[in-house]
Amino acid sequence: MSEVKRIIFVDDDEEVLDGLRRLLHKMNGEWEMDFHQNGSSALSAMDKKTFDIIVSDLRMADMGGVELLEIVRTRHPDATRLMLSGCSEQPMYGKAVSCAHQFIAKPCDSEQLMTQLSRSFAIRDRIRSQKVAKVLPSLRSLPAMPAAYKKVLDMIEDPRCTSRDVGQVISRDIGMSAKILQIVNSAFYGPSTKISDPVRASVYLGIKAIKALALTDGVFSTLPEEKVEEFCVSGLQEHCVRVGALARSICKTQKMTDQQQETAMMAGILHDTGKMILISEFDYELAEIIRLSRVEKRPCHEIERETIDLTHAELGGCLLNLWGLGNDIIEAATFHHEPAECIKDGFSIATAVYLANAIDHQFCSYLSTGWSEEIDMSILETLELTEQLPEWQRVLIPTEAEEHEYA
Amino acid sequence: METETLTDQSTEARRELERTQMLQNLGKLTAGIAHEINTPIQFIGDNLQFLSNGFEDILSLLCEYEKFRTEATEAAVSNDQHERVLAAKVKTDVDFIAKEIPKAIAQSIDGIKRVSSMISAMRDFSHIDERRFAPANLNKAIESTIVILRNEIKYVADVETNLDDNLPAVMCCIDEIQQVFLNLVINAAHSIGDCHEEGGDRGLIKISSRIEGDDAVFTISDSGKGISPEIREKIFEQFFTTKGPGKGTGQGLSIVQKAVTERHNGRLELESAEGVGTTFTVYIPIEGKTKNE
Ligand SMILES: Nc1ncnc2c1ncn2[C@@H]1O[C@H](COP(=O)(O)OP(=O)(O)OP(=O)(O)O)[C@@H](O)[C@H]1O
Ligand SMILES: [Fe+2]
Ligand SMILES: [Fe+2]
Ligand SMILES: [Mg+2]
Repeated sequence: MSEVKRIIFVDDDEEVLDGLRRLLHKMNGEWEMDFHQNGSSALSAMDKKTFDIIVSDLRMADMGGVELLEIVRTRHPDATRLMLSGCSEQPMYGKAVSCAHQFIAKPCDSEQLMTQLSRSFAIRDRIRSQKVAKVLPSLRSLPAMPAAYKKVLDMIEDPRCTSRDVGQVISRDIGMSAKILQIVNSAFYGPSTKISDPVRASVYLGIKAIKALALTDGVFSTLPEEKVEEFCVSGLQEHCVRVGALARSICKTQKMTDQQQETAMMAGILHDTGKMILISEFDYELAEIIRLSRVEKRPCHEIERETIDLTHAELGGCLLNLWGLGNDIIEAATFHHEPAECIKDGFSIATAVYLANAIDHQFCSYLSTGWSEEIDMSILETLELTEQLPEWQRVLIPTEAEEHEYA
Repeated sequence: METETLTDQSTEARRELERTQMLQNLGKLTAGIAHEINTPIQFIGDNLQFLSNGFEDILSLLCEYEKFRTEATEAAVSNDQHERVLAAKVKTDVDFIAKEIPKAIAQSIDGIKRVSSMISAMRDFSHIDERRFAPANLNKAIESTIVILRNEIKYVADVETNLDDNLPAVMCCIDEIQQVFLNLVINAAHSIGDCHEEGGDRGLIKISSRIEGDDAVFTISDSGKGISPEIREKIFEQFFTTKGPGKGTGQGLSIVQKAVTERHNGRLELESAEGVGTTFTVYIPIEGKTKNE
């Protein structure tokens, strides 16, 4: 990654560019900024210099924002792509969603813009690994389970199915959940508070929008069946759903609000997002990581750090961050193997997810996990929650059917 | 008596349909209108923030200078004091602020004008369905139409207007005439848009007004794909369209024709060559020789 932080702005309206240039002039010492009035001139600038972030308008004469960002995605996969648009036209959403990491709606106030840009730089700093930096930003979607995706496609054609029904299916799939939350929380659809429940997200978007999105190339994708089998992805998905449910129960016993419980549930479902990325993009490395973990009796995340410089936890956190999901979810994913980080500010959603994950690994293990660590009892002592543990563990005692499957 | 109710009913039904088409048209335009308002608001906001920061910086520099001045009157100033005030000046980036402030103000004022013209054009379109004959300024109606359609047009074509300032107020039903202009200009933009999609150059829409005898005459001319002789007769039929679903319903020209010829006792002329473009000419009697009213 380059030393200087570079941003390139593209907008066909000269006055908009002038406004941004003036507004951001005070950042000159820290950021180097380029301003371009059309896509082709931006592209040739990007061929000459490396830019960290591109901020593009959507509707432009000649080359539109979607086309531009798609080209950038292939030519400069490691650049962060933001869209700053005053457009509110439905049909453009789908395509825009698959090429930009995040959307900022025009008009946006300067603070919002500055926060967004600083946040994007912070994420980039965290992706230390060269290898990952080349792959992560170019990901358009997290692959879904083929069966779940097919079910969604069938449901949107079925007039009896409601957006709630579709949401329920989506909420049991890591890839589709993450994507729908990215979309619903983006400025184009823009609810005023972040939504962290895929069911609510689906209801909010409505069946027509979901249909349009599901049929847009690149919004959802699926894993090839061989990988599903090799890495026992259905086991992973079920692990995540259980961790979500347990994290919610834990938050409930800690008297957190309904909203927080909902977020904890989602944070649990998405905690192993990084594993999905490894399965889809680094399957070769992952197989080796799992093998070593079993042989050396060391947790996967330690070996991940040695081989790809980032753990699956950090990797997942980075992607969710890049996609603009809520902070609680990002934190829970990033630190779910670092108990000390999870209790820094006392009991939090991240704590609940850490515990839920550790408890689940104790009781149920799916085929392709590596070696798992024990629960860190010291953090329970710190939070004076040791007595609660058996109660939480009971939530997870598998039913007979499940036992059969995961024994 | 019987027949009269019948025509009444069908007129009612026809008007209802026309109204629906108008509303559909406007509905399709709202996204573009929002875009045209959001853009200037964005840069006006950025400029104001810049002006506010810049003002603070300049004010604190002024304080530095003031301190320096009092110090200077009390005793000879030291090198340190000199350095300090110089550093403050460098930090403020006076040159940049001085250069940009006038432009930031000018562009913001211009932006506010852009928003206001859009709002006032929207107001012109908000009195649909009054259906009253009254003297109206049709040059203004055309200008409002162009403003409303700016976002629809600007990515594919330039607009050239040549409006006759001497055009008197025309006795007409303004909401209907506005529909006429709206439909003709949208059609022109679509036609150019189609060429543009197929890789053609940016197009041109020429709009003019003039007086000819007892008529006010308006021409809307586009450099689009033209109308082939095979469909020339059909285009005025209700529901005839060559556009895909969601883009056209085929009601535009039938409404235009009825409004011009039947309602206003005017005339509609069409000239078109494939690959060159199309010109529609609308004649409206200035005194409003209406048949029915
Ligand atoms: N300026 C033009 N250039 C080329 N073709 C045109 C032009 N104006 C109209 N047409 C043709 O005439 C057809 C009928 O036009 P009309 O305005 O009645 O309906 P529409 O534009 O298709 O739909 P609507 O106006 O109801 O949205 C169009 O589909 C198009 O093929
Ligand atoms: Fe994990
Ligand atoms: Fe896990
Ligand atoms: Mg039309």
